Amino acid sequence: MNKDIIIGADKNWISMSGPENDVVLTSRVRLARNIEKMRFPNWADDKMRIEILNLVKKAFEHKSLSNFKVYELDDISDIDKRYLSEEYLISQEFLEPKAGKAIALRDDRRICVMINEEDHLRIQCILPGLNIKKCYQEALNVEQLLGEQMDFAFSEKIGFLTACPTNVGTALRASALLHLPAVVISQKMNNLTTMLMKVGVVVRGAFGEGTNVAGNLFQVSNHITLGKSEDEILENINSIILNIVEKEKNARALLLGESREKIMDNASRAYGILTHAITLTYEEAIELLSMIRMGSDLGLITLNPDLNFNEIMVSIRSSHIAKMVGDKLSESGECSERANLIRSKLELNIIH
Amino acid sequence: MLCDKCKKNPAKIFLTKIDAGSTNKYNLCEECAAELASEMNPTKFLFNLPQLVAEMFGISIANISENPLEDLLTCSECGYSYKDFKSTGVLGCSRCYESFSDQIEPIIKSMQNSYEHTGRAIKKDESKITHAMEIAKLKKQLQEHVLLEQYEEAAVVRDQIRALEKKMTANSHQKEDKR
Repeated sequence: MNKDIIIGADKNWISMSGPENDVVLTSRVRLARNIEKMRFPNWADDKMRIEILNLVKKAFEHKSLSNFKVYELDDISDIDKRYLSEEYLISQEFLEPKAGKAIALRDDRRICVMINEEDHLRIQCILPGLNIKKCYQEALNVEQLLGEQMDFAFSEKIGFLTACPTNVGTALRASALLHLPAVVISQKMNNLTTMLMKVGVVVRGAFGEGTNVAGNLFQVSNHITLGKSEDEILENINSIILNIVEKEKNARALLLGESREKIMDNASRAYGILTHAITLTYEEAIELLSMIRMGSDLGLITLNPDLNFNEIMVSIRSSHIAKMVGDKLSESGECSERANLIRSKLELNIIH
Repeated sequence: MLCDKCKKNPAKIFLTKIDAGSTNKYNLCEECAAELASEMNPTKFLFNLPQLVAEMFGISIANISENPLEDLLTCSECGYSYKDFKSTGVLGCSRCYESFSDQIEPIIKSMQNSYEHTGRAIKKDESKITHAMEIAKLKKQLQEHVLLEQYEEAAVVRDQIRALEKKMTANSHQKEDKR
């Protein structure tokens, strides 16, 4: 049975804006929790995992959580699964079918709880812009409601107990998706990555195939989960992100002074290709969109104010295109639909 | 020289891997090397480090002495073995943290720079927790004594476990009576 769970695709973070939105696309917080006296999902057999799922399902039946719907992984269509993973609501490894796997999705699709991933529960909240503290509050709220109905595995000494010791303690991972074209163009990304590693922040390429960087998009997240309180972790990552935003803005200002013509040329050429291409791969499209976006952020190109870059950057991914067309596409079909979509979004804009 | 992986940046890190009879050289830029390292599960990476070193020097892993006793440890609660943890990087149940505490504590300390939770805490039945933790610790001792064939010590520990378990069931009966 395949239920269509993604309807009203505009009702999510990609169509909204938030603080520092010209550099920070989205913020995300994940809390890992396990139910006491139950084996972790990897070591539990099918029967135990289904027992865990039933416990969690029952908790979500409570009226305080009535804005959530639970979907078993087997009941979700392939396109919807990929769509959710392109929105970062579920992880790649979660797509692997296994008994007892399910998600609890809040109606506004900002909170998604993965059931029986690496831990029994992975509560995640995604919000537009730089909004890490709000993400945590929302995720914590769900955690507390669930905690009233089940006992979480917890130790006084080392906090919330997770399947992997890299998450033990607060079991809190906070991250943000950043657009850093000027830092990359100025060849400062390596320095930034090294500096961030020293302060306990991990940087990864985002939205590319595997972990390759595409479209100058990066995911940054905290490394340490133990020995610091939740507030300290959130405050720390928040100030580091603000620092990166400042670095990007400084690099943009510098580029504008030193190579204004070059940036304008890049943005205009990108615009030329995207408004005339008949077929576009994801990698080509995202690189070109990154150039236009920076040109627009710097005021070198005026685009339709309704144009939402966050939305375009996500909606050109494979499953989003398949969802829009309503069918799984061949690779060439997908590339031409992608080009059509981008043309229709960009055509009505004017270059100075 | 350009990086073998991205073919864009200059290679700054040079790895030589020696397998039986063949030598492979990898030239990587800092970015790709960092990416490779971040792709690896940090716990697995820690365990595989001796193996990586061994491979780089072209010697067999068997030459590096391991602690065979460690591999025989199993969690008294769920039966998961420490050997499994070394290969998967994930534990079997929450009690594994107690069962393998001697092994896991230094790993956590090196990854997290701490072994003390200072964040949000949830309230629990105190007496039950301390007893349960004590029992897990004793069960681990018992296992070690048995492995070392110290049967007299093992018997003492076994009696301590029995006494604590009795106490725990007595406590929970009392509570049920009150309800």
